[in-house]
Amino acid sequence: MEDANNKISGFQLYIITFFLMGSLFVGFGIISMFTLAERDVWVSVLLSFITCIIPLLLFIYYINYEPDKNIFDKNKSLFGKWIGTIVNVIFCAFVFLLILLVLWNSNGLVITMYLTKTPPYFIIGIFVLAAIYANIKGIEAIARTSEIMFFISLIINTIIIISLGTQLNLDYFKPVLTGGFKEEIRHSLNFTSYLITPLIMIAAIPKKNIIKNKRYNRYLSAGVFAGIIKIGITFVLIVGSVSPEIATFYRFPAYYALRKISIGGAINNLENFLALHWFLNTFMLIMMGIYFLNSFTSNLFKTNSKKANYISLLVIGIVAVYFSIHIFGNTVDSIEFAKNQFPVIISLTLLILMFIISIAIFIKKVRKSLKT
Amino acid sequence: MKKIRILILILLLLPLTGCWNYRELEDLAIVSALGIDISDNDFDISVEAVNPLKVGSHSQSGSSSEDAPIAVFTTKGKTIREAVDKILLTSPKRLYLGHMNLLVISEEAAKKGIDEFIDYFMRDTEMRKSFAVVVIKNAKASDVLKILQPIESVTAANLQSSLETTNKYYGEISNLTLEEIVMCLFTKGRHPIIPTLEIIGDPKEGTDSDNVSTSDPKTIIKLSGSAVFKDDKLINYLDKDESLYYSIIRNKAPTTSLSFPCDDKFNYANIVIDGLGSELEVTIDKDMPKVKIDITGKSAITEFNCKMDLKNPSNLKKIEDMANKEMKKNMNKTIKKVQKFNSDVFGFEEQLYRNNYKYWDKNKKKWDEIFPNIKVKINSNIKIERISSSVETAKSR
Repeated sequence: MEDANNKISGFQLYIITFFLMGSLFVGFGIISMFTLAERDVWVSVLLSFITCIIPLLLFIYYINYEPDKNIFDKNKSLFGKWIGTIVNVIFCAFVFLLILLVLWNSNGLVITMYLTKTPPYFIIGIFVLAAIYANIKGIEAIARTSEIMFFISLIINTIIIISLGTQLNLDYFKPVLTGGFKEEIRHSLNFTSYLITPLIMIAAIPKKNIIKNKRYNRYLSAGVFAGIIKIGITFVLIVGSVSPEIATFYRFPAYYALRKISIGGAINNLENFLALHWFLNTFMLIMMGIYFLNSFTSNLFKTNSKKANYISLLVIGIVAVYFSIHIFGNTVDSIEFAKNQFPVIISLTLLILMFIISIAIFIKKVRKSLKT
Repeated sequence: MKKIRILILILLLLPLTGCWNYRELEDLAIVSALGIDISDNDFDISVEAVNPLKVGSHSQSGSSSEDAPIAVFTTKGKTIREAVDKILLTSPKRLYLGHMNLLVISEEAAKKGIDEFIDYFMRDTEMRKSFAVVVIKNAKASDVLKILQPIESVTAANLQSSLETTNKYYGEISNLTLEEIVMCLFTKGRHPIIPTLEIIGDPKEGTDSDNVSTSDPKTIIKLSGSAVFKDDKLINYLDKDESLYYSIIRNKAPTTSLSFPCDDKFNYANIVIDGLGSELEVTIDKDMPKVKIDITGKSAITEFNCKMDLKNPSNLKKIEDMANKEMKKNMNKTIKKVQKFNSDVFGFEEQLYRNNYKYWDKNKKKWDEIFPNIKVKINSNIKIERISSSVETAKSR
């Protein structure tokens, strides 16, 4: 689908990346990282600065191949129409699963902490409807929305950092590395998988659609590292303010930490408002996920009409709402999936796929250079 | 197209109302305190529900209106949740636990173990975890909630205020919240210690409205010290003085006052200490932990009943030494008593776990043998900075 509103700035790309990096942590990444690494979670965060470099480089290599095309056209050009479509379907399945996971977890947080009696269809429906509306407006509207969300998130995070930063108890970080360093490397891979996996959605935006795209790699990398820093700070604040023992006990330790925030000792009970910044992350993934899937359907059916676009968005939305409620039987299954299956089944498979694609690009480039 | 957009926007607004969770204040019974007793392996739950429309008028007028501002409901259940739900059979309104600010545990329930019932309070999302927890000594938890007390008509508010005030101005009793208890239970190497209440007088007489209409109430509830736990089970008590020294060691008493003998004739002086702080260090000496506690604080003489020239700097030093000696003596007494209980409420083991993990890991199973024999060295460094408004003493004439 060719849309007139399809240009975004480098800064907006940075923001989208930044939000996507934190999107899998709501009720998912944080709980599994705490149950795995406990108080040493900050070591995993530090190591992830190294472990995320390989997937990031692969992604940049992939993006810079035929920069005028989006992920779907690239795959078709690399592997031919049929195999390319199969690869695209695999990518779409991954993205669809990410949307389902994020919706399930957002719904879990809302139902547990805010609206216990509200039907899940309504909670998930509100996220999806808003995301569909943003998608109707095009990627430019998504990017502008993300800009507004970024400044809201910045204010909220500043309040959180200042307030919880003063309550840090450094004793809670001790003893360090009782499980050994090797364990932390394994945990950092888990951490990287929660961070990097949603990045694939950015590939749906062709590089040419970024204004002044010469600095594309910089904006993308800055978004990735800012995302790691943000999540790293979150972990440090949780461990230092509520202790790792309590953090591992609760399903939403970040929400629990927010309960400790008090502004000047007079404004208390801000957790419901401050938790909004997590929903901004998940909302970004839902918007971008739907954009990714919608771009795929447009590419597959070669349709550019507005009507087809609406139908496609509506179908994606309805299917996402329905399946996100039924994806797991219970909360324990979802945590188990986040901890054990997700890093291997989803992230590792995606990484291998990116490796294969990168090799294919490399071979194609070599052949091209040999011909010339 | 415009119609579709408007339709989407209207649809977006619908779920924002939160109507499914809509609850009118007048349909709720706001629970201010919950008591736990145990009988025949069942939980006996008592809740103090506040009538918000009556509390304001009651406290303003200073006398009881026809409707009591509080009502106490009691039920039994195999679980806390079951018992709380059963209260609906007697209460016309649904209980709301979001504003609960006191949990009273009976001695019997505490002896059986707080693990038996604490899960409900930790798991419930409506309830805040910052309410105070107390143990009632030699009485039922339901008795505490039923007793009408002067000044503050709501028992929970009365007791929580007492706990906060006592801790803030005297440091005697640490005001312990549920989340701090959870922290103690889950942290390696520290056992909980919970404030204790005592009922002075006949509990039955305390439920009568006469108890608040007289200047000398027949039945009162008093803070009496602290309950010492081993893991989750109550094992013994500290009196209020020992509780103070526990609070000082755990750095939970910012201010206190200290009385000490200032001559050989049983005369006493008193100082108020501000900025009271303690530092706890656990080291290993000959494969045995050794504890060093440094106490610091600035004080002012508030009462001096001995004959001494306070204008003489060397005398001030002498008074400081007397105060520090008293502080050390009382602290040692408290520590020895707790060592006899063999419950590490001070967190010596926690210090080792955090700062000497290897030693802790090697000896964690033997800690019950190690703890009673740990040597504790106390350095008390309380400085007297002010002598208040008098430069002379009454006895210096």
